[in-house]
Amino acid sequence: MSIADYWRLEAPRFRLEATKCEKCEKLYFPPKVVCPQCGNKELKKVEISGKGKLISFSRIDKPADEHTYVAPYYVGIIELEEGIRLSGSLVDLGDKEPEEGMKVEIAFRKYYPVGDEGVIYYGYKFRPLLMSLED
Amino acid sequence: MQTGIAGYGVYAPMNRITVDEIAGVWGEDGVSKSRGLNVFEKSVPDPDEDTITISVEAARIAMKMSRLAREKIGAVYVGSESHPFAVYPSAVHVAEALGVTPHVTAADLEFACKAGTAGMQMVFGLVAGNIIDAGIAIGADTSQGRPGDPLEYTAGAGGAAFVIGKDNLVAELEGTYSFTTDTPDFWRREGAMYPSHGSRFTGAPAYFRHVINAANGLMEKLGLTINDFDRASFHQPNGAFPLKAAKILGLPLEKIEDSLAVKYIGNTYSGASIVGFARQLDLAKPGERILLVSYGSGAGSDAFSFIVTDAIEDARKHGVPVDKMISRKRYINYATYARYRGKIRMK
Repeated sequence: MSIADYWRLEAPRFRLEATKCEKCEKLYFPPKVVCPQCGNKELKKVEISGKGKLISFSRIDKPADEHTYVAPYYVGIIELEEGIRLSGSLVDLGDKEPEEGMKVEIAFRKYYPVGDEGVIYYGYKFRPLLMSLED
Repeated sequence: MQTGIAGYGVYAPMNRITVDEIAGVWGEDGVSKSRGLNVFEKSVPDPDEDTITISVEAARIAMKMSRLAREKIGAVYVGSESHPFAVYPSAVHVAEALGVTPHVTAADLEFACKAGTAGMQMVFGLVAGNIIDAGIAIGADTSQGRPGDPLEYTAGAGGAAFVIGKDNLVAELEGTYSFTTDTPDFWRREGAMYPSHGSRFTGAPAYFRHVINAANGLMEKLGLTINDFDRASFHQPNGAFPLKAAKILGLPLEKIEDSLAVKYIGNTYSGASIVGFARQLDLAKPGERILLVSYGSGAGSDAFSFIVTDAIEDARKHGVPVDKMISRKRYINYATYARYRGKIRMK
């Protein structure tokens, strides 16, 4: 990932910024500039809750080089309360295995550092509910 | 209009290593070490956690509790001695993650373990001077202890964030006072992986001199005595120093005991005194007066007096209790700890 790509995606990756079509009400994450459904160019920036449930997951034992520092780890497909599905790493599982249907929320974490002197990329991952008092 | 704290949040990573586990590696008596330090275990960050991620998590809780619109936030300061970048502020990451950019001032601060309270003083000044409506001050660290060094038993990870303003206050600021000198008790040179310290020199001329003088200076300034305080939190490099400082000041130990998060998550450096303060806020009744005194090596102490408001009881429903951060945990052994903290050099 280039620094420019990272910078362009900071809003969705740092705080789950999405866009909503003001005509057909369709929600997009990652955000879009034009609504693919109705062609409307008036899309409003909105933030989504960051809470959802785990739909499916997989354990990664042999990741790409930049992610070996956190291996082994799990990645999952999460369905957010707003209906959006997205993928992300799972953290703070403790010694437990993830379970389908498990309630999760966004956590702010490092993605990976670029070597010893490069930039460090940050963004969302998912963990079992912590910030909510519901659990 | 009164200034104060509108929201607060604490974050600690969930990994724990016990003092006994560390002592066993170095052939020391863990029970005796634990008793002497009054520390049982410490928090250890996951490899993908650092001062920036801890700051964001703590600040998100503080913002949620404050119920302030993000447009109100005019300053973000992050105090730490373990900023991930020497150049590229932690504070801009936090501001961006909170969505409070671009109409905001932001900076990283460093003053050993009191950079968080230095940030609080700066935000209080900006708010009281009507330069901004509200701001966020954070103290967070993932500090390191050299393998086998006494600091290794206590150097933990965590932080606390405070939304400071004039609306929705859970605690009003009565006053603040600082006591600062040049005292070389603890330092880390540019590029050095681990800090160095002056061993016993870190006690009487450093920690105790500054904490006691800052507390006394604040009481003199406000016309208060130690008996006027219902609760207190002092910097907690271990669980013994704050108790001794309380004894010197004549503060009953039960008024400081609740602040000692250090026993369970270790010394969170820039976060230490304010994590303890947040725990006192979790437990305080409206009307109670709380004394907060930080300590940063080098050296200095910032003292504050706060009065808890009636609003705290409702505000707590929107926050996350400090005890929730302390109680979620996963124990790791020394080998995993060494890997997570980069103590195994691969090249």
